[in-house]
Amino acid sequence: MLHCRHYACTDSRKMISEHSWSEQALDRNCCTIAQLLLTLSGPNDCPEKEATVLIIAGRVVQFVFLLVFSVAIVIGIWLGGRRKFALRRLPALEAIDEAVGRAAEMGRPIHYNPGWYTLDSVEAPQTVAALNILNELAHKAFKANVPIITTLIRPDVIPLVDDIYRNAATSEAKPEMYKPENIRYLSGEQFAYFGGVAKIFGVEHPSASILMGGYMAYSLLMVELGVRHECFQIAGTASWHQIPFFAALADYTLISEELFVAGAYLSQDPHLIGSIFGQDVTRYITLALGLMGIALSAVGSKLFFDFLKL
Amino acid sequence: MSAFMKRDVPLLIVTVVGVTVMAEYFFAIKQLADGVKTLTEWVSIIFGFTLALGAINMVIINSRYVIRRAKERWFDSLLIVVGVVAVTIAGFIPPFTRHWTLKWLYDYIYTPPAGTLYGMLTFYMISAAYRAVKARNLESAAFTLSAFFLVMKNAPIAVSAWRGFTDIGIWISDVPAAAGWRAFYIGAAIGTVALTMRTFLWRERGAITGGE
Repeated sequence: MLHCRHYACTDSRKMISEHSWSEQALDRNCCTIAQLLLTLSGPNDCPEKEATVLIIAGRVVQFVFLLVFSVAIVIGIWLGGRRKFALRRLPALEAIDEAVGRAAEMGRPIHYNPGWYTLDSVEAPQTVAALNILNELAHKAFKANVPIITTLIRPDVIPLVDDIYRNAATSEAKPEMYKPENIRYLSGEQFAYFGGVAKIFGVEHPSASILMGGYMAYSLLMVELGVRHECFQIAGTASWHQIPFFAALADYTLISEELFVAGAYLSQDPHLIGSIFGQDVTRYITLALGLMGIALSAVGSKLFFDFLKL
Repeated sequence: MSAFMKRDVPLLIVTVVGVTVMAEYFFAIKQLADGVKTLTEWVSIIFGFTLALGAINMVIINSRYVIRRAKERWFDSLLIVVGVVAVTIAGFIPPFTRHWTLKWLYDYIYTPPAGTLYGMLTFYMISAAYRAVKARNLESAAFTLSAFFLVMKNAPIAVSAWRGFTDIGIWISDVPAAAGWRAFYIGAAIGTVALTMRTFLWRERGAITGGE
């Protein structure tokens, strides 16, 4: 039976409880929604009690924000099916057509890399976003008879890329474009991987190189390699340490959030575009909260910081 | 394979597992914690299989180049295949991963070229900086000016000549640059939530189902 024992507390920060059921498994504090409400209403003497709904202390506001953001995005998806939203142009994504056209004219392949991170890492959304872009790219490229060489640093992505290739080739009625040998796992070590990519660039001379997803130190080597081989380059990442290298050397760059909307943008699915509207709403909420925090800090109040720590 | 197995089952697994792991982060429920622990163990096992898949992929592709005597690449491919076989054999010699040959191969075959490439990053950075730091418009002029002060801040001779380089450099790092990367992080976080919701609602499924 789950229960959480709360101790009598005299102020909001003491409204922390401890588990009595699994000290070894979860050595962390928790608080109930009832406690949160008590906290917001000010200092209280909360009596010892038991509850079954538990939110870990320090994560209550995160949970509320996640709920609000999720609802905004769901409403956006719902609205997307009912009205048309105008999208700001993203030159980096428009340039994908240019990359495909250039490759078709030159009769050379496109190189693609979906980044460094595995699908079980905390940065996995970047890899998922990169694969969504690859899905759209594969349709465009296979339609124009342009092969894509996808080089991988993580082997767990191989089956997903294979599926993307197979489905794109089938749906574009170009079964000959499905070539498993163009999905190449080169190494799990970034510099050995880079050595493999350098060899491919030297032998197969791709006309364009598209780098999407999360990156580590090898990002600079990759874009510099593209520059030296006169590749048309589009690069995007939400790894902030690496974005300066992409911005400096790639022809077009997707920065941070743009990477995550790329799949929706390229698909032109009205529901997905609606979700971008929801995403914008969450951004305005965040901006409003930020301004509120600045205003409260300016007058010397710590209320906002205490609220965020809940 | 039916559309149900190919499209719906993977999406269902992603949604159920994703929601479970997310719930475990927020709620202190023992069963959730135990479930996520089991899922984490499964991830390690599955990842082990994908490593084997990667090795097979690498050996098949490179063996083809060797057999066909592919121009400009068969010899490199032969080295890769020999390397994979050598490391695999070394891994099977008792006491397995602790045998000295494995460490020797890593320390004396892999590490020197990897270290060299890492060292080369400095020269690549100079090359990148040369291309990027050109005052073509107002934005790039601001970028160039910032870069100048940050370089001066880190150059002892410049700092000894004028202490102001340190103050200006620190201000650039702490104020405009910090504001920029915080915005970058917040944008990435919102984008992650949106992508996750689209995936959990089966709206954006190109990555999971191959666009099925």
